[in-house]
Amino acid sequence: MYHFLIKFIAVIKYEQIGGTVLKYIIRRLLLLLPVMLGVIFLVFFIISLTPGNVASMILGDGATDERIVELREEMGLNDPLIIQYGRYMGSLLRGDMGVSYADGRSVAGEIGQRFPNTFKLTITAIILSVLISIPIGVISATKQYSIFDNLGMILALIGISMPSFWIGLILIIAFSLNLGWFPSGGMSGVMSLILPAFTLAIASTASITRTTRSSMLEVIRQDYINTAKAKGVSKNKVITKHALRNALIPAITVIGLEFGVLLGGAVLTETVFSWPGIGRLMVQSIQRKDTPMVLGCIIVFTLSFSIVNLLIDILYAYLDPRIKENYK
Amino acid sequence: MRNKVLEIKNLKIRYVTDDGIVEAVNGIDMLIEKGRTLGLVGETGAGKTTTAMSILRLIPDPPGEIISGDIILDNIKLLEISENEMETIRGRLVSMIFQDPMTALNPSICVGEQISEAISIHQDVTKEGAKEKAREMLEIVGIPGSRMEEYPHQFSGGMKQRVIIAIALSCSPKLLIADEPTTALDVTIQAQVLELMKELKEKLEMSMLMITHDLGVVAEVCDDVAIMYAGRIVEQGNLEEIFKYTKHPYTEGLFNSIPNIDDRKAELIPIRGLMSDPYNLPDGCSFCDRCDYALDICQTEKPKKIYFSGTHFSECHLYSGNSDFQLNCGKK
Repeated sequence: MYHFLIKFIAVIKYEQIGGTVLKYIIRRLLLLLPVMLGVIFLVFFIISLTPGNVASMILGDGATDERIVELREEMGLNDPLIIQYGRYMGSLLRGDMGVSYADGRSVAGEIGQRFPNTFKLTITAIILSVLISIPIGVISATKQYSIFDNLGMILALIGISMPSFWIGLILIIAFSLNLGWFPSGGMSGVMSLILPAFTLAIASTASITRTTRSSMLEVIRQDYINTAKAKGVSKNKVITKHALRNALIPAITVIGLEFGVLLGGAVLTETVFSWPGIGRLMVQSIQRKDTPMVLGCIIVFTLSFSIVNLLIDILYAYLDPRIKENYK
Repeated sequence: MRNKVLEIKNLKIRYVTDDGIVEAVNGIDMLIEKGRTLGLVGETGAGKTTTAMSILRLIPDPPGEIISGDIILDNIKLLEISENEMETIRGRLVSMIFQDPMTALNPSICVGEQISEAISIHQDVTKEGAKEKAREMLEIVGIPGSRMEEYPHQFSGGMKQRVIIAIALSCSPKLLIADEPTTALDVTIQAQVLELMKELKEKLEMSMLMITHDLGVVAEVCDDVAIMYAGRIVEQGNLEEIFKYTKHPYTEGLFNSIPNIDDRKAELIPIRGLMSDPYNLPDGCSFCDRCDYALDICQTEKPKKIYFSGTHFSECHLYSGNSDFQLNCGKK
């Protein structure tokens, strides 16, 4: 992750987007610290409120009561919560995310193994939705109230309204069980990626389409579009060169937010499709009351969401010179 | 006969909306000769901008539609050619300066690129050549070429309008349409921009259609004046005829609404009432409800053109029987 970040910063420096943006990035990364602290604090206490006894879960059905009490004492589960929280944060700051309560594996190792799978799934989904939604949004706006536009908007409404786990199940029934085109679950090559990525992409495709359409509609009514036309710029070029770039700014905001929705959706989608990512890992860990693992997953989710939104803010500067000025 | 650059014949344009049909332009004729400037004057909603946009064929359709008429630019019948051909005409033979410089430039493209774009569309030049020409244009309008890479938000309103002028003139069009180019600027900048436009117009031997509601601007830059009211040209003539021998009561009303510099305490005489509802224009003269001279016939019959000279006409019943009728300058 950090490797990518360093590379990205190097690219920015090379592109001469300037030191101002670099400073901005550093400031944003520093701001991430309080956010992480808050998130971890919240999750830590919420998990402690859930019912169930970790020690008896670890020891299994045959455990004696004394052994359970002993283990609780050993794990420090009898200490006040705030002490437990302090202990966790202490080791986290040393880079230690702890070990799983359930099977003793290292949290960092497990997440490191699973995160690439979730990353693969969400990135495929976001690329899929951008590739579908931007063109549809643009065409809908340029041909407002046409059949294409109406059809597109109805589909978008349906897409937003359908819960992703349900779409997942329907897709499995249709394409795996009945048609047999794709595997119904697991991770085995490109074919197994298609259904979960598509399931995940539907809702975001719908909302990005709607945003693109509405911001495009606004932009094509601007005076500068008339200026461009009056210069003799062809119809298509007015759209692709003059309108799209300005219309993309709101669309990109939504893409960033949708990335968060996608991560949330991954929890459900990964479960439905038995995809070995951290979404499913988190669901399993919550069921096992595996606090270190849940916290590890949450940290990774929060970090990825924040970093994606940081990237998007930098993209703004590239698209809109007025925003770039504000980064100083 | 002098060289005609723009000729409009019996142009009618309407907007079909959910609330009804707006008759925006109701049969106007217009002629602009080479090197001359026609001022199109009228209040908001008179159809000035619609007329201008129709010359570029940029009236949004729907709701706008050109019902009838001819627009002939440099011997090309604009209403009969294809959209592709029209694209080669916009920016090359005719270009337009819009009212509000704050919104007329694309905020995400640097100004140099916005100027050179027009050049590379219409002229056979390399990218570098277009850029070089754009730099020249920028310097002609009084902006240092070093600001080529800057974005519109880095310029002031007057500077933006200069950039827009540079874009419009980059391909030396035969006709420049300026839609209230100084309305959004403050007064000191207005004079500079007008001066610049006048100077460039003469240098490039262009004709100009100057849309404005400011008779001061008209006196400054125009050769001929057309007064537009509710989609009709109610009076037209050269500068002297309109200013000295005003014939139409509406034109007189416009003059009476201008502050008098010799007598600053004199009260303005506004034109009473509002422009007639464009959804439902009256049968007779559209101005008769606001006119102090209105006759019975004005309610029922549309006035016809009455010529006072080869160039000066007015559409008013006052002169149909008696072409020597004199307006009394709003004094009763």
